[in-house]
Amino acid sequence: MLTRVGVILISLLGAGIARADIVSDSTVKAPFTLDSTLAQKDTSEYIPWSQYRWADHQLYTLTGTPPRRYTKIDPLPAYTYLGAYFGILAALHYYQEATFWRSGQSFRIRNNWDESLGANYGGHFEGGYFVSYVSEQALIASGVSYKLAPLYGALAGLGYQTYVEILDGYGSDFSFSPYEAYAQTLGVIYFAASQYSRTLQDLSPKFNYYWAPWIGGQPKAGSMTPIDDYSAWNFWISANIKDLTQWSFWPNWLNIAAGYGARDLGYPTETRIITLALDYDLVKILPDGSPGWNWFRQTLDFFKFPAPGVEWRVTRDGKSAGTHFYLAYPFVKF
Amino acid sequence: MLRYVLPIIILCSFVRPVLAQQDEKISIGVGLSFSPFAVAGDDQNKFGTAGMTNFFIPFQFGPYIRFEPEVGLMLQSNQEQVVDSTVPGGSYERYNDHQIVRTGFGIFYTRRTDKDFEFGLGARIGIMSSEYETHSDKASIQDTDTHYAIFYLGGALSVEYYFSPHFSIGGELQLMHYSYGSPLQTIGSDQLGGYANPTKEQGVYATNEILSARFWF
Repeated sequence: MLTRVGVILISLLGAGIARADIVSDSTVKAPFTLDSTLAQKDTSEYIPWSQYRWADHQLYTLTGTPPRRYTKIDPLPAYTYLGAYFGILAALHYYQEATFWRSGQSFRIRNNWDESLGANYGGHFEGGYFVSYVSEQALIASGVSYKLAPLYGALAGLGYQTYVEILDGYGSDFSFSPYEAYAQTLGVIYFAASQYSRTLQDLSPKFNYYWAPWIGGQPKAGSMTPIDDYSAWNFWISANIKDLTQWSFWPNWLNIAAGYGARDLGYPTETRIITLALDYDLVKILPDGSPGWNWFRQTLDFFKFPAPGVEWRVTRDGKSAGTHFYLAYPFVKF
Repeated sequence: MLRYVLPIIILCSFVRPVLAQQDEKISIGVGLSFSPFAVAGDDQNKFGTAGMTNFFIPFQFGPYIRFEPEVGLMLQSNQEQVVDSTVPGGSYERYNDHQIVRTGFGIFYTRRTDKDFEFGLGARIGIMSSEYETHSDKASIQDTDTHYAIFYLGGALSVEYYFSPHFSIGGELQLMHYSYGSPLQTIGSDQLGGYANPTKEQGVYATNEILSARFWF
């Protein structure tokens, strides 16, 4: 159900990647558009762009200004970005009121360990991670320091995801799932831990959503919206091979991603989907530009685009249901 | 009503602006809390909070924000030989398991008034789960699983005294809402699961107190 959050936020904000590692690398030349934003400001209040990095590439902010060294709330950006942020959360609340929570009950817990063949846990994990990222970016734009913003962002991610799951507990079509709560908490912890571990920064959560009929499948039986249609999602961890291995021959924009999903949920043909595919680092491929564009391409990198890959299908009772090779997963088969 | 109150509380938890040029130290510790009383409304003591201890990990993010995830566990299992009245002189083994998990987190605005004393104002939210399972080695007796749950949410005022920079003890006054869910009951296979008393609702508002100790690294 975590994915509910992800989908709507993506449609409103774009999809994407995470934040900064505080490592100094004086060899990195910040883009012109970034340097120029500090021309009229006291630069000692901000960390240099060279310290605002994620693994082996530059990170970007919504405003085009680097994060503050110490927290100092800028009222106008704070009203703008936090206002937009809370506006989106309010819109999400009303959307879910009208769909998932339209009929209520007393608070209930459920045991749904193998519901959706576990694809829902991928959604909750990545939802926790993504909401933390968006929250952190809104906080940085508002003037919260580079040090506190990711931690407050993680708290906001945990708070929002918990709130959604709790309200599921009052919805007669759902109920509270402890396993989903664990998965989303793990996503938030992964986001927070990634701030301090370059290896985790090299292993980025990503996702894709393609409506099941587009890829020859059927939407999950009983799903109410795209958000809970786990027949249409894949959840990935994309490995930055170049940074992990330092292989000189490996292109720095080319990643390898391992994924999980499910297809045809609720039908006799339902299967688990285990995937391995190539992936692209959009921050390295797409050209540099304005602050808004740079932030957008960074955030868009949360979305896993079609690429060559292999898919292994496994039935609910653990039997292999075939292996398929793709030129552009999940659309074009070899 | 809760579905309207909850979003407001969650949003307010994150809106507080932080001031400039403060010490933005990030600290982590370990702690435990002791609850002297049973949770309000738990008339049959299914959640075992009285006299139990929760462990937590306090994080202090800068001068004002504290985050404390917490967990408490009780895992009980027993087995017994039961006389089988359908077989002369026969008996079978019966196994009973009981698991209680209390998990949640608190978020506090904290203020250090001097080097020894700190107070905090915030909220706690969490779930208590209590699951009873029975299993026997006699094929004609079906396994059972009954899962009770409480969701809790409320405000809290904490005070803490630091004996040293690394150790503190404190207490917390809470005003909590406990929402008791209809138990999920399964007899035999998962397909036979359902909610017992599906129309029953129980909500309790109550003041509560906990005692706590924290060790800061």
